[in-house]
Amino acid sequence: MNNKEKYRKVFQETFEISGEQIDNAEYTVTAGWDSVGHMTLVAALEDEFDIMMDTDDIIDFSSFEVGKQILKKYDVLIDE
Amino acid sequence: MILMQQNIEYMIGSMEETVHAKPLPVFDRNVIELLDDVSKEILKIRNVREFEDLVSIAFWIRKASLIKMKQQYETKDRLGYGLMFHITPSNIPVQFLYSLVVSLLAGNANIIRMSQKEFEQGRIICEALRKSLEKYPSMLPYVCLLRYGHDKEITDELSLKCDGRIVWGGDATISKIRESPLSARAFELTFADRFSLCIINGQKYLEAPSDTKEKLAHGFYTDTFFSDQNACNSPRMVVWIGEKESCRNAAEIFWNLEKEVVEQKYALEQISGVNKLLQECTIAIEMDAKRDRKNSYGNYVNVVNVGEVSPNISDCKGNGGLFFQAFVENVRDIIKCVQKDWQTLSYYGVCTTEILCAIRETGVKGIDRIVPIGQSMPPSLQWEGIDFIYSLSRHIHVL
Repeated sequence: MNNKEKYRKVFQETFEISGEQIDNAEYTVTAGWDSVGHMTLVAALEDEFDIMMDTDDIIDFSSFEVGKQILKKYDVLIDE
Repeated sequence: MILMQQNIEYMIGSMEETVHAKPLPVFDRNVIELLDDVSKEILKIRNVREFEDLVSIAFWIRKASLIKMKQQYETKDRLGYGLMFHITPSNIPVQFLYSLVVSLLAGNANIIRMSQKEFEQGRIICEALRKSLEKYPSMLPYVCLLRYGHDKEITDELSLKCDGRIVWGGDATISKIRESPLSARAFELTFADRFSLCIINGQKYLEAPSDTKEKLAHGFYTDTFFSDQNACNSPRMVVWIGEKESCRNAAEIFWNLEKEVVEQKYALEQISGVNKLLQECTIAIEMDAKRDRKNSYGNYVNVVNVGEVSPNISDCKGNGGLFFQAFVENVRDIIKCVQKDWQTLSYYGVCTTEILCAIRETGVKGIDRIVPIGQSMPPSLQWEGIDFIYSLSRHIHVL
């Protein structure tokens, strides 16, 4: 599985969403992406990509799209 | 010992193994690996989302978080004391895990007496711990979770064997446990009954936009009903500051909004309703309070007005939606009443500098936390002025 697939899989499993819902996923907008969902998502991403995210990045991780930029800081490239 | 064993229910581990476990360095690598695994096991569970307290603590013990915490400590030549004996409360389901975590990170083996009360969170945590300990068998001696009834002999034995004892309240439990002596070199940390309250500026509340009022209602719910007001930092009293008429209007709006949130979220057990009425009557008689029928918001939210904020207000302890309420002119009127057992002051529309100045000027000994309403409390290695890593470990001075 490449990074893009892994990234999508995490969102799919965390929020039980698929297809376009994943591309449009956003904090407080997507069902289940509240503070509890956020913690679950971050933990799953750290596990999937074997990274440790900084607090600021955790706070800034507000959407599927924004997340891709943040992951670049950890040398995780989500290919398009 | 053989007789006692029959009265003990083990959830994890055994006393015999744990008493012989060697102290570890603080933030030991194996402890971090174990806790990270426990975190993953908990977060894997499908319905874990229902338990915000569980998700919060599982998030806190993941590797990234633990490594970051480690970086904030001076860890050189620092080891655990040895064996910690924990007595954990019946009111906070995840407290036993918190106590275990801080003590493991400090390098200790642990015997944890859990309360008799069963919680789903407790079951989930024990299951996760079991699975993780199977993968990290070297850590097995460091975790012993057990339960027993009113058996002083067992408490006596464990108290004499331990290097430190941690007792999570209330005052009555602490008194009882203290009947079992510690050995000469063992120490004790206790967390006694605390009283918390909420203060709101009436005028500022009235002026707040409706979505702010909504957020406050949800925040207040999180602070209170979520833990059934059992958490020591749950407000039991709301004090309105300012001109009386505005405050009364504000209070009316506030409690009605709260009632709506509670009706959505809270399952009132039958018994709670009866206990509440009993508590109200008892306290009303003692405090010369007025149970104003108008301040009854369904059966979920009951508000009793007390005439004035007096120093013994912390005797007013309600659960399951019973709140006390008072109206004062300014912040100082409340602060001057603060007692040593007052812990958290949550607020809206009040300047924190003013609160701090009042605390300094009056010289009161209570209040450890001043936080906005609904401020979620992530776990921390510090609590009530104690740093667990430094308090539960020893530093070897080398020249």
